[in-house]
Amino acid sequence: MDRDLVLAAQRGDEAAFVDLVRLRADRLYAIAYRVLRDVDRAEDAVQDALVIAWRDLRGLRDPDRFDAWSHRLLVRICIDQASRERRRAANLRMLPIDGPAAPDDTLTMADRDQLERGFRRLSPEQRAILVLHHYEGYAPSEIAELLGIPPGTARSRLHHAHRAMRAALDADARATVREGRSA
Amino acid sequence: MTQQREIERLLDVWLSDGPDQAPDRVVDIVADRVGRQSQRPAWRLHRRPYPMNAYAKIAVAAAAVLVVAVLGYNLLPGRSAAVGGPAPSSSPTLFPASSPSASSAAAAGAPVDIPEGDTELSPGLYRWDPFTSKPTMSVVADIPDGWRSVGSLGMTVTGRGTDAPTGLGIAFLQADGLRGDPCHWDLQGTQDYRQPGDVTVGPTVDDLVAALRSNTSYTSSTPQSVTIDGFEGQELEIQLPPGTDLQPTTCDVEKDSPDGHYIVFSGPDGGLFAQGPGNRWDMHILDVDGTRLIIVTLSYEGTPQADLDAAQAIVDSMQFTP
Repeated sequence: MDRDLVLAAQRGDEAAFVDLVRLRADRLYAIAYRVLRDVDRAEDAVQDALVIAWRDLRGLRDPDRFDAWSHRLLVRICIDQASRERRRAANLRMLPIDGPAAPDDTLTMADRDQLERGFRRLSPEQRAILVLHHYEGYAPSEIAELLGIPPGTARSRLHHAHRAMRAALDADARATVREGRSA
Repeated sequence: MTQQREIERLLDVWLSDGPDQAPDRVVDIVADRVGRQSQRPAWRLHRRPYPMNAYAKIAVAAAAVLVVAVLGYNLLPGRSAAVGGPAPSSSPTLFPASSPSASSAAAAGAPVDIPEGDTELSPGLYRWDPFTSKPTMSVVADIPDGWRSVGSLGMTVTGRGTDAPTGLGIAFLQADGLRGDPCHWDLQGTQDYRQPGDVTVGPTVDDLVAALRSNTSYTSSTPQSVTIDGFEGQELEIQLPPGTDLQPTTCDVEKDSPDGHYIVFSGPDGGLFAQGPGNRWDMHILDVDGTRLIIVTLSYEGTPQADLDAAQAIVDSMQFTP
């Protein structure tokens, strides 16, 4: 059914594409939010990615690859957006965390805050690769195909992203201890 | 210290938390924007604005000011008539009162400017302005029935486009270099085809032909001398590898594009890539008053001979303005 929608949209059927958007928007939005950590910017990124997908859809040779391609478009836009935001916010204090923070059974509020701060310290590329792996469940080889990079590079980037996250959390823990001592 | 496995577990749990439903307005906004955004044709050429350096911007601005000044001067009262001559019978105007439709004008024998986008062409004469880097150059060609234009990029046979195994197209190119490995052209890791090629090529037709023939990534024919519209050059055919499947895992990927790309040339107007496995490029490389123009006829082993003959007739009919 999705394949038929993609094929129809490739022939210029706007309604078919909008149906496809209805089916895919939630997933794309969830990914964008997790990379960008901002509901408004996530919304913008999804819209931009889907409009580019519509514009370039006729160039998609294999309709079954629509999801992978749209994820790639989205991730690239998220990385661009996050990079711009990073430059702009370099001298600003951390913005408050957006979006609902539903409690869960495993992480405390303190855990989540620490993860949020650590995650925001990562580069946009590192954030994206962690979201693709831990949220979307992509294997490094699938990430490689998605981002158009060699599999070895994907594995290496994932490794470095984990290491960076670990360093960010450790740095955050040390800062918290120092603050506690000086209080 | 936080352990590696603990980090991975924390990320699994933490990232599963958060919003997972897009606001309804996302679909509405995308639907609205899609209605105003036309789709790019399936012809897989790139032609994005090339980065313009500061000097070029100044030159373009100066040229625009000059054009406005000259037009304004010529529109001053008394400037339209010869000195001492009779006053013109009608007021000068910058724009024609009406323009004939593309098909009727083309059929009438006057070259018609190719419209933007993917357009079915009626038989007749059409004019392309193919290059961003050489805006003065134009190409006029006599188009038979059964062809479509792809904006300024070129043209393709109706119905089959340029896809394997029977497609056909004609593209206009300019190139300042080649890719040593056309499948792995993204040496800068930027996924941007506009990066320079790693094979520098001299400015002449012979330079380019020699560079193409020395590349073993594809096979090339023996070049033949050709003359079109009085401009001399060489005709050379290259056969791209049949195994090039253009998947993103096979060849380097360009930003936004869904597939891998096999790109032979470099340069602002050289972004043509293989349209399918076993694509065959019959190239007419001409020296048009110092500009090296490349006309590529893209086809496959399965392309019907009648279509190839039509393409050759189109190329033979071309007239160039340097």
